Parts: sequence; C-alpha cells; structure tokens
Amino acid sequence: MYAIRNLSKIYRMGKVQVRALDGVSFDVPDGDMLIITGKSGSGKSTLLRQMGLLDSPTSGEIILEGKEVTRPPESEKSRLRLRYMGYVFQEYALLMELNALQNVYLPGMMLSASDGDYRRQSRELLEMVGLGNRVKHFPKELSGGEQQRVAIARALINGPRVLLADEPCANLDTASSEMIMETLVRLNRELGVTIVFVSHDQDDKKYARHNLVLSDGKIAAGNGWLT
Amino acid sequence: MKSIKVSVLLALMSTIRGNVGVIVLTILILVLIATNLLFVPSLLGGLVNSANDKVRYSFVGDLVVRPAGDKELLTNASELITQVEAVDGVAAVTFRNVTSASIELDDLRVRCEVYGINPERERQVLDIHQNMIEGNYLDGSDRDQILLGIQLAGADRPETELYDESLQKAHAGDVVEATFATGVKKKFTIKGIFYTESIPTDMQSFITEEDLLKIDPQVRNQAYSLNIKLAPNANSDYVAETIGGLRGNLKVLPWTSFAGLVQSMTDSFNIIRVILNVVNVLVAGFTIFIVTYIDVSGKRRQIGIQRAIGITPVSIALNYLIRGIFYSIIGLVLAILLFTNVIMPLEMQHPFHFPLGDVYLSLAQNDIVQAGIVLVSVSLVSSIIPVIGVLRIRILDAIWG
Repeated sequence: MYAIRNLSKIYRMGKVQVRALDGVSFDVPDGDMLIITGKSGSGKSTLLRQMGLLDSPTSGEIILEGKEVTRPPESEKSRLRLRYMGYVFQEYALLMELNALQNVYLPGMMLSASDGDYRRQSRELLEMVGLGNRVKHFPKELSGGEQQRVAIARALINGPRVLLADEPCANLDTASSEMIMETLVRLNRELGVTIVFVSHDQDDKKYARHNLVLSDGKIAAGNGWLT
Repeated sequence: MKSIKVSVLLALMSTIRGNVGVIVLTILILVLIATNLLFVPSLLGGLVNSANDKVRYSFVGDLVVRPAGDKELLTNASELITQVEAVDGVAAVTFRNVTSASIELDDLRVRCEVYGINPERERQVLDIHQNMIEGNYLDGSDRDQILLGIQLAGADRPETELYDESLQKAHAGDVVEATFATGVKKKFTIKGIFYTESIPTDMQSFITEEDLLKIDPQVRNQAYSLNIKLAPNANSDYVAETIGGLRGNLKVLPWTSFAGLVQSMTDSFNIIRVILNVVNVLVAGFTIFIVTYIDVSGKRRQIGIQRAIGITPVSIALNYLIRGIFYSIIGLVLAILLFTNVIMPLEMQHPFHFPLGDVYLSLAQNDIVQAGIVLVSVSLVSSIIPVIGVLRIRILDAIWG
C-alpha cells in the first residue's frame, strides 16, 4: 500500500546542507509491521515524517494506495491524514485542553456520520488500550504511558490503513513500553492495521515482522520489500 | 458542518480550560471598547435630543402656520385659530405678532424682536413660562409689562453667551424704554426674565397682544404665525395637511424646519463620531490582535498537533473566529449592562451641562447594533490574522519550534 521511491530530504542550515535522507526506496505491504531502526541522526524520524505527510521531501515519491501523494495541497494532506493514516508522536502530542475521550474523538468528528458513532468508537478504543476508566481525565492527569495509549487510540479513531509511530516508547519506563508495544502488535494482528514504527532500541525488532536499518539517510540493511 | 462542530468543540474547551487571565483581559478590553462605542453616540444623541426639545418646546411648537407666498401676515386670524383648533390632533394653538425694537436701559441698548402674545395660549403651547429665572410670566391683563430673554437682559450673569451685547444689568422690576420700528417709543417694566438654555429663544422678548396693538394697530385680527401643539400620538403630517387645506394660502411647517442649527450640529457630530469610532476601532483592533497573538503564540504547538492529526486549517481558524464572536458578544452584553444600569442612571443624576441645556445620554437601538457590528468585525479580523500566521508555519516547526 505504501511505496517509497528514491526519497531524499535535504535540510539547509545556513550555507550547510544536511542530507537527512538519501535516495530511500522500499514498499510496505498491507498488514505489515515494519520497524525502522538506526543510530541517532540516521534519518529514521525524518523518513517517518515524510510518510506521515508532515513534511515534504526534497525529491522522490511517496505512493499511497497507488496514488502519488508526495506534495499535495494542505487540505488534501489533512484529508489523507484523516482517512488513511494515524500518527503517534514520541512526545504523545495530546491537546491539553481536551480530556482523553475528546482527544480521541476529535479527528473522528471530522469524518464520522453521527455524534454517537465517534463517541462510542472512542470509548471502545480507550477500553482497548486499557484506559476505559480514564476517559474524562485530562492529559496532565495521566502518566506518560497512559498519554501515549490515548495517542494510539486517537490515531486509530478513523480506522486507518496504516499507523505510523515515531519512537512511541522513547519516554516511557519498561513496563509502559511493553504495554505500548503489545498494544501495537495486537492492533496489527487482530485488526490488520499496517504499522510502521521507529525505534532506536534493537530489542524492539522482536515485535516487528520486517525491519529497516537506516544509516546516514540511506538504507543500510533490512529484510523487507526493498526496491 | 463537521468542521464547524470541531471548531465549536475546540473553542468551547479553549474557553473552559484556557488561560483565565487572558480570557478575562480580552473580555475586559472588549467591554471598555464597547462602552466607548456606546458612549459617544449616546452623548451626541443626547445633545441632539436636547437641542431638538428646545426648538420644539420653547421656540416654535410642533407646527407653525405662516402665510404662503410674499404675504407677511395671516389675515382673519381669529377665524383661522378656531378652524385650526377644530382639527383632529391639535391640542393647543397660540398666535404671535412681531415687530422689531430697540430696548434701552441706562446707556445700553439691544435690538430684538418683540412678540405680541396671548399669555394663556402661549402657556399651552410652549414652556417659556416654566423657565423664569426672575419675576413672573405675563398675564393677559398685563399692560406695559415686558418679558426679556436672558440673552437680552444679561441679568448680571457675565457667563451668559451674549452678555456683552445685552443690557447686562437688567432685572425684573426695572423699567426699559423700547423704540419700535413704527417709530413709537414706550416704557415697559420688566415683568420677568426667562432662561430656556436655547439662545434663539432667549433672544426674544414678549409683550401682551393688547400692548402690541397700541404700537401697531394695523395687526388687529392678523397674525405673524400660529404655533401649534399636537396631541400625544397625533399624526403630524396628517394635521399639517389638514390645516394646509383650510385656506389656499397657508404654509404649514413642522418644527424640524426650524432645527437648522441642530441639523448642522448633527452633521458635525456625525463627523466627530466617525473619527472617534475609527480611533476606537484601531485601538480595539491592535489590542485584540496583540492579545490573540500572545495567546496563539503560546498555542503554536497545539495548533501544530491539530494540523498533524488531520484537523483542517479552516476548522482551526474557525475555532478562533467563534471565540472572537463569543468574546465580543459577551463584551457587548456586559458593556450594555454597565451602560444602562450604571453609567446612564449616574449621568441622569449628574447630567452633562452644555450651553443648550442639560444633556442626558440617549442610547438608540441602532447605536447598539452598530457597536455590535463594529466590535464583532474588529474581533474577527484582529483574531484571525495571528492564526493565519501560525497556520502558514510548517507543521513540524509549529510542534517543535
């Protein structure tokens, strides 16, 4: 479903050019669970942000569901992010003025046909991530692990085909990290959601079916559908 | 519709969970601006009302009947008065004759119009008798008595607008000598001095109709004008039309025809009002812009997250527009409450004193609507500009700076 073709991203810092991604190409088939690893600064988060349409690559193509979506207008990006993908940030990125339930159903309001649908789905998702009893809590009242689970539930509200997670356990303790990773695995196995996640922890490879190792913006190794 | 629902949720939660200090400050500024927007037109409206009342109740009455064409006087006045009194909607009628005169006291002299009146009829049409500051109003039986306006008498009140041109030290009981246009010279005792706070009225003088007939016998059963007071709820246009049809050569004028000064004042006030409103709008615009800019700058990350999870820029902008409308409506409502329950009652007890009399604040519905439109428009424009700025920033820059 995802095809990344010769993707490059160059940042300009004054007169210096930093090549964060350098001609990366690979496919992510439906239902896959792919981990992207690499050292700090290897370009893994940059790659995920291009895939999540949060940033535009300098060159190359991103093909989603057979359509090229590399540089769509802002409104089209919003639509694609709502309909096809969920994104989980390393720092949870919850809206502080909304409670857990509202954080989850906010993107759902943009698509859902009725009030009842997105509210019910949000509750079910929060139940699924083990937060059924914390729906009215605001982010400040939740632990880091709980906030990240709210973020995962939010990413799933519109039934995305793919979930992109950028170091979802980076700020969590071991127990919370395991709970998050098990949640992702369950989503992949039980709901068939394609998951692409970034991690600097080599141990996380055990959760994924395929892996991709980045080094200096290039694919250094991997056992996935490299092209 | 879905975008609006999202915007409403964001606006609602931002208001409930947002920075109370910022919200209170924003509303407070809007209350002050709205109060200012209401104050200026209500003061100018009060001034115009006050000036209009002087023309209507002290100077000419509701309607004035004059001969049409180049004739100077209404003939067969007694019959005309009877006919006018019979018209539906007419409450009272008085008639006036006028001659010019020079009035002298000691070495000072003033030129003025002297009106011959029927005091009883005048009392029913105009309120000069309620504005005596010295002596008493005329009675029908009075002879060789004269009423002087304050602008003619001076009455030892140097603060009077035309004091230097007046008799300056004339008081009730003093005897003045009047030299009329007919050449007749006659002494009059000042029966009273009136002060209506309307300069054109206060430049008039009055004697009884019998005294005027002695000076100018040719005006018998003639009148320079009929001045009419209408019954409450009478239709002025209908009454004027009916009176105009009584004879072929009548000119019936509403009081507004004599309010040229007020009209000129109103035009000037409108210019002042526009200038003050423009200044108000600029102050409001910049203030709301700054408050929103500070608020939005603190929420750049939140706006970035909203964009990242798929909330459209339109929904995000709409959220700020809804808040702008909400705050401005709250500001306007509080300003109206403050204005009508505190400022207006307070001003009623301590009215502003202008040369044309005490002025009471007068708040018209139209002024409230205008203030509302101005306030909401300014809030919308001023609050949306900073948001558009943040929406133009790359999502990642908005989230991580």
